[in-house]
Amino acid sequence: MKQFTEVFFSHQFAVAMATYTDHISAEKRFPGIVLRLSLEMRPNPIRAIVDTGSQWCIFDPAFIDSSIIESVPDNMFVERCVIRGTIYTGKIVRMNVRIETDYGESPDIDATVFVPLLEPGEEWPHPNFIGLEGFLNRIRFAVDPAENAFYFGPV
Amino acid sequence: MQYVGNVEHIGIARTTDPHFSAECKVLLESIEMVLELRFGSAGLSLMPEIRQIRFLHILRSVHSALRTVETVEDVRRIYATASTPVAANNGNDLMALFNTYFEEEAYGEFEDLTKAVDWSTRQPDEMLDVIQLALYLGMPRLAIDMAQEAGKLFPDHEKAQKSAHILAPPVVRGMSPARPRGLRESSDWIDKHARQFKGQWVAARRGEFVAAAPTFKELESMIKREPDQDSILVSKVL
Repeated sequence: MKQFTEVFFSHQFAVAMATYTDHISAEKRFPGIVLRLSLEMRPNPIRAIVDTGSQWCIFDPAFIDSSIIESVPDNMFVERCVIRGTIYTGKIVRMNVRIETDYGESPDIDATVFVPLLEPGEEWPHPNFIGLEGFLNRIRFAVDPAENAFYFGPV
Repeated sequence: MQYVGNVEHIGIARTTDPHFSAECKVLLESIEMVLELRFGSAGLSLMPEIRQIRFLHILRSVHSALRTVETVEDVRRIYATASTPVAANNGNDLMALFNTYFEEEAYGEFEDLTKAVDWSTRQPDEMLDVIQLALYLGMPRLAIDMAQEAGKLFPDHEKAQKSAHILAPPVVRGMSPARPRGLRESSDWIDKHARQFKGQWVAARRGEFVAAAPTFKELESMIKREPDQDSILVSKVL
């Protein structure tokens, strides 16, 4: 149990704690808070970096089941996001996202996320992002960098 | 002006600043010249106000009306009326005004107009188009608020309901107790061996290597028969 677990849990500030890693690339180019997530209809957990400057959660389309993207009509909820200097067009979809935790309870969150639409053969060159709108803005969270602990709970 | 029925027809190209400035300059010079010719110093007295106008469509309206207006007050009425969102709400050119604000990236005016409109008197597709424009403008909070309103105003409209569902605040559907599955250890393993697998997709379970492949599809087919799928962390090594 991490240092602040008891304090946050007893005051109902948080219901879960997830430890995080500090970067997500071979050259440590993407420093940040890297958590593990499970996405709807995908059996394997993935990694994503917390980015409160990102408007939405942004996930590599490889991880998104095609039925989720196809459930949104072609001309609806098209969004453009500037990601690391590049403009991407994508779709706004609704899906279940769970932050995998080390302690407490993992909330299953029905979230709104941005899925970039890539050209055939094109690969997503960025990490997955846990963004503000549609996800973090309804989560209470605290970070303890001394122990790489991310505490959170629903608002 | 006709309502432009589909946001795809409106297009997403925005006026770039150099072009905007150049057309503004030409319009302002022309307006100033005609005002002086027609109304003398009384006409020129409007120029400080006209120079404050930030929208091309209003400057164009003033410019084209100068040939027919009778008085200086008529000129002032043109730009005063065109700047009032409620006026657009009552007319047929609401969507054109939204499109203008969109093209000119006038975020504040765009949001003010969404609040000035009585959406219960409009078509649901118009509201959905404005939601789409708000998304293009990078105003997700506004899009979410409007989508929720659209859902309430148009309960029988399929797209409005879809909009309200997708652009809803996040909701906690349930809670699952944390299970030790070694995901943190797997994440650490991937970081530790990142240089070795740079550019590849890697799968690790409980801190140990499972498979690596150049594409996600290939990795997926390699690991699909492995047990404990929810313990296998998958990541592209960037």
